[in-house]
Amino acid sequence: MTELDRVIHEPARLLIVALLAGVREADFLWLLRESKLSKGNLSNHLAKLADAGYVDVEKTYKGKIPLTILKLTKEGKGAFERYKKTINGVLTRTSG
Amino acid sequence: MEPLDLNDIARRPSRYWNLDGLPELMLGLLWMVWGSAWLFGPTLPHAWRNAYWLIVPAALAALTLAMNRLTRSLKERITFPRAGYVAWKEPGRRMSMLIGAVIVGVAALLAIVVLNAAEQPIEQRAPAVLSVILGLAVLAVGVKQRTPRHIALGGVLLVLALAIGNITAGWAAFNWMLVAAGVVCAMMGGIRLALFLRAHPRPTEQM
Repeated sequence: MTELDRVIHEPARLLIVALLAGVREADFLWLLRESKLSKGNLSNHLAKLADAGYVDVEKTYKGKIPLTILKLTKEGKGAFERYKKTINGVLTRTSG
Repeated sequence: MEPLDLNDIARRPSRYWNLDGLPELMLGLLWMVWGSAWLFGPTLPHAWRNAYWLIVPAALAALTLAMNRLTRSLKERITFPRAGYVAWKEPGRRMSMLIGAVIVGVAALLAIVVLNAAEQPIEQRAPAVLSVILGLAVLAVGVKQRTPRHIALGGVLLVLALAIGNITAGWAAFNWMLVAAGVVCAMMGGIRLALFLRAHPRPTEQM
């Protein structure tokens, strides 16, 4: 059986990675709005993705307001592309 | 959690660009300025016209080039603090070349159609062709982003293009169409902006 990347395969993390794959970078607020996850849930999944080296988390300030900028790393982009290929392969085999 | 549609997720960043109505508002204002400027020129006293036509086309070109940056800076003040910050991907080399090829192709087509229109004067044919291009561009945006309002506006512009091709008013009709389309577009943008501001109050703390 083809091995799926367990870090990305979890639906919430797949959503986060897919959203970040469509932009150069985004902040926590945008991801929160688009993913419709709770703050705590999103933070947990982001921490797991950051630990795997898939997401770059940059904590910065805009004036006095803290701002978290998120970006998919090169490894993250590669892992997402591999995941899409793998899952497409699995779907093709099961439907054919 | 609902099953994920990766194609739909990939479209979300471009939908986010239009969420606040600012791009439509700015585009509408730009069309209004363009149409009004060309309509206003011929009404000026003869002594002022040379200076007007020396300054205005350059100013319009500069305004058009600055429009994207202007929209972005408005988004930084209005949209990002309310609904989140996004840096959109720059088009890749392949996409840039494709866009360039389409622009060159459209310009070549425009030149061929205008120059070969023996039965109609250039003043009558060129505005109609430009109207068709404008209508198709709006239609393409609507189809790509799946926004019925853009599809409707593109359709109206195409119908007006046919009308413009059959009347002798030519450029004046085209400029009036730009002003009218600009008003419609700016109104759509204004309404969307008002709805966006109502739905997204400015948060007191950022994350």
